[in-house]
Amino acid sequence: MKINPGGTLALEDIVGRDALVKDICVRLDLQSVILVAERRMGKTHVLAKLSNEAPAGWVVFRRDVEGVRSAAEFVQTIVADLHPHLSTSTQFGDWIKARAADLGGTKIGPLTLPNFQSKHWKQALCDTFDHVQDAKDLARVVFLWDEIPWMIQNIARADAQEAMELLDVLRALRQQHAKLRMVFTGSIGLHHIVRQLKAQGYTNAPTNDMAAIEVTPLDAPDAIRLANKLLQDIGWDTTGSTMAADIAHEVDGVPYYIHHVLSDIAKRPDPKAPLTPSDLRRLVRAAIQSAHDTWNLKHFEERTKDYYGDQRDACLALLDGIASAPTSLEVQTAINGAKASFPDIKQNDWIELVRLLERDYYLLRDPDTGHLAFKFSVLNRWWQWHRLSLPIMVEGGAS
Amino acid sequence: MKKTHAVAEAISPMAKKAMYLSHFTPSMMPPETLQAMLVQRGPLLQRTVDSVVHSVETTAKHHHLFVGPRGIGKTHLISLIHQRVSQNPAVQSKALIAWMREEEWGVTSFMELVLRILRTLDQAYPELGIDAQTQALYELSIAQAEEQATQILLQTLEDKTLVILLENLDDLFDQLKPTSQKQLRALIQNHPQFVLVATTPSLFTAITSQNSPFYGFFDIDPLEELSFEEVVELLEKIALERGDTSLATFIQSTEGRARIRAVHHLAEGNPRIYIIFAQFLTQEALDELVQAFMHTLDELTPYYQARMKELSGQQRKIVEYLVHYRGAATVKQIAKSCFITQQVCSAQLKQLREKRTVRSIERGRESYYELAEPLMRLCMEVKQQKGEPIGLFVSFLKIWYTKAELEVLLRDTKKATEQYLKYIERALSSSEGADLVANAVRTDFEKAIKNEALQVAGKILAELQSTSAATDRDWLVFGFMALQSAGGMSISMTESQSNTFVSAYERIFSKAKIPKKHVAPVVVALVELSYRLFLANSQNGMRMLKITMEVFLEHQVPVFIGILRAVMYASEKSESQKLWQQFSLDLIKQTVTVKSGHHHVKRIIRIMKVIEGLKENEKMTDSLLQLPREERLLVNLLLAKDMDFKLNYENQPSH
Repeated sequence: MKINPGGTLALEDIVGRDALVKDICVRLDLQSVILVAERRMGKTHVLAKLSNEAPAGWVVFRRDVEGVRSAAEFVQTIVADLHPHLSTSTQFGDWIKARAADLGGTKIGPLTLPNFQSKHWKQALCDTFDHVQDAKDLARVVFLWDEIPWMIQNIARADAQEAMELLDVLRALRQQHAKLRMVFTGSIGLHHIVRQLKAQGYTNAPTNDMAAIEVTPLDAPDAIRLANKLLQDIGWDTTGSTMAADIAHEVDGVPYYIHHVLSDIAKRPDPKAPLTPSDLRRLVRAAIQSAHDTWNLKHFEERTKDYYGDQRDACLALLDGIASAPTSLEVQTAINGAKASFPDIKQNDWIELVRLLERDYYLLRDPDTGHLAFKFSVLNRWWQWHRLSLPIMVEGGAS
Repeated sequence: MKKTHAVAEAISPMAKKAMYLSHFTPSMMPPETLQAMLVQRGPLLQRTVDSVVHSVETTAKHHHLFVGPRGIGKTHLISLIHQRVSQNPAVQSKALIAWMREEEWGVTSFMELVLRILRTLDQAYPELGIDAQTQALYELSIAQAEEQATQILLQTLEDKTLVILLENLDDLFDQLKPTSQKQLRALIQNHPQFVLVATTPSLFTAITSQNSPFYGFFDIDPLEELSFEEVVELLEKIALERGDTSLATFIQSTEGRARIRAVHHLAEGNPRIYIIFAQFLTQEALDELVQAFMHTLDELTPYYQARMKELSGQQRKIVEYLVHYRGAATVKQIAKSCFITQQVCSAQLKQLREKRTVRSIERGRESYYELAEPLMRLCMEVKQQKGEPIGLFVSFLKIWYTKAELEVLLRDTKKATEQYLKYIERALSSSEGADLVANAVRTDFEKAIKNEALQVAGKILAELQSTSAATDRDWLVFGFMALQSAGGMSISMTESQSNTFVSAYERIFSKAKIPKKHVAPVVVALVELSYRLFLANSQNGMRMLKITMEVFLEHQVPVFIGILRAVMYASEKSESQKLWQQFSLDLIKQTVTVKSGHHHVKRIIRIMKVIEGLKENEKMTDSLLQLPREERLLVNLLLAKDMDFKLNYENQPSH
């Protein structure tokens, strides 16, 4: 297994997602799923694993849809995916030919896909899934759509109404067709796109029938196993070594950062030279403090502008206060600290901001005490250094 | 005096070769030349090649992005990656390579990018007949052409991997709207057969923003400026590549290194500038090379001019200030020099940073700003000079050649074109600089001292010595650092260095005026250092101790403390330490004779007994209290060092 931060892993190199994939399969038996996580947590690899390990009898289609720009184009991708499984159906074949004759077709290899125009895509989508429902040899059909929020965003930019309708049609299809399941995931939260649509008059809740499953950092044994494999790849003898455990702890078990740490270790003049725990902490600290932002941490600060709009400064004040505290804070203490700079914001609004920051992976509330801390120590350390010019105070390990 | 036509025609082979190097187009250079000139990046090159091969041989896919300003060596690296990867058997059988050259202008959509890739593949693999397939695309609508082009690409690949080498990714993504970027990423995700190896002058929003499709996509490697040792290595390699072994030897000499150190400060670690400078290292090609260098700058200047045109008036003022300032400046400094408020300056600098024209260096709470690209400074200087000799090169000539050598060059009329003469005359008349070399070496020396890099400091001190600029203070600072870092172990000073150090020590301390209240700890410390020096070089150690005693003779108590410490160090029974003990006791005798009588020895013995008693039984404070105050202070001082010792009383002179 090779170190590969940001790249595509071979299936056999995806570590630690077996339980999660099983959970998703169990849930998919009952309902569709929306996978949620911070970016670079490994959602795409989870989909790859799910696609490969789906139960027998399931037909799974996996597609990155961020390049799709219209609902009609989206329907084309679905038809193209289903075609090999439905081509034996005479009715489906006749239907496709008829549509191509009416609407003109785009030839893709041996297949001619109809050019579904705006007014036709809805009907085409419903017809397609009617054919799916009729197909006796398809027991369960699962669509894994990666980057669906971006697709909706693309569509909404050209025609917000079309985006709204697509979301509603997909929901209706899930309700109508018992064998159909969908898994949505994406680099940005779909809730942000829906919020933008709501600002334009959208009133529905298009995913309230879907179960939200979070893709979390790896648990400790899996994170250690991943780190060990990567250490072995650069020639380390990991027998009896605690380095893998130290690495996993330092970066909160996030596989993306584990790969990055190993990449930094591999780039030393002698990759196999021993590292003490304090050497490791220094290496991680250097990466967090780096002006090059090779771990892509700055975006957490930058995206607050898009996420929170004119409440951004208040959110930053909350986060600054929590970062500057040596331990976790009571919610009200955190709010009081930020309130000093924004006295006009009402208490309820502060509570809502805290909730938003939790939802967007900045903060975590301790389940026992209810105290607030940064969810990821890596982000906490970045915040201390780059926003507050404080020497890094916290140790590794997620809250 | 104008150059004759005949001379212009008969350009020497060396000049031709040098011109070839100075017009540095790595993508067109033979691989062995590229390999010969590779410094610093060997491991990075191998790692990248390994990961590309891994991407071809397995279903894993690694994507790389190299970041660094113009002239840092990005194309050089990509050229070598291409060369090595294309020779790999696995890649030859299982992959295709599309090397998209330095500037891919006119690509404004995903479809155009796919077409450009197909065109590149067609040129590299004409047997695939791609061109014939793409002709039909121009008859289709854009949407259909896009779909068809993608299909052609996928069908061409079949089950092979496509390795795309792509330069100036920032420019490409600036032209590709986010929608097209998403289409590209979707293609890569839906068909995991693609590997991207790309370069960019600096990071850009499409990579760094979480909302961007390619956020976190690449394994990013910033390419670092060359360190001083790497520069020496590069210049030596260039000299050897040109067959100039005497130059290569000179480069490694102390004098050569001193000069290169000054060049290093001028060139700010940018490899392309070094390669240009390298042409000036021999005299023969000077005239042609000025022209060749100007040609290189001519190619770059429109690029930087275009970038300047994009800037607002205030931003241009800031950039021009940084060009002249030549270092990293604070917001306050820049604002003051540009007659703008700090707030406005800060806002403009933020935009300049986003445009990748400047970069910031964080030092605690302060941010410093400098030009992101040293070549930009060069191009702007040339433009401002309007035909006058370029300041940077005049400085270089002054560094590289002595005054006498410049005068010889001036008299050598065979090569005397007008431009040539201008440079030499300017170098001779410039008031800057014989100090350029010494200043550069001194700056690096002080940095090494600050970083406690002893060996590096020692090397640089030798260079400083070669420029006749090393002072007694420099030797003192170096010597003290060497002795303090030793901690009783072996010291990293050669015999010659310790000789020079002790001589400098004598000269400085013989005139030193140390406040009385500081004398005691100073003397004690100096005696300790003398002992450490003694362990490495007994003669110099004893010499240093003697000097110390003589210098501080008038300060009775501290001298007494110092001597006592000197004696105490010799509690072991090794030969060298007995020698130290004896020498110290002889010094005591001299001190006794010269100044204050033999009671010092009795004091030593009295104090030693108290100390030994206290070590055996901490509660024996009565004996301590019987001592005079200054002797109690001495005991406390000596005990604080927790030295384990026993004085061999039998060797004491009897009084």
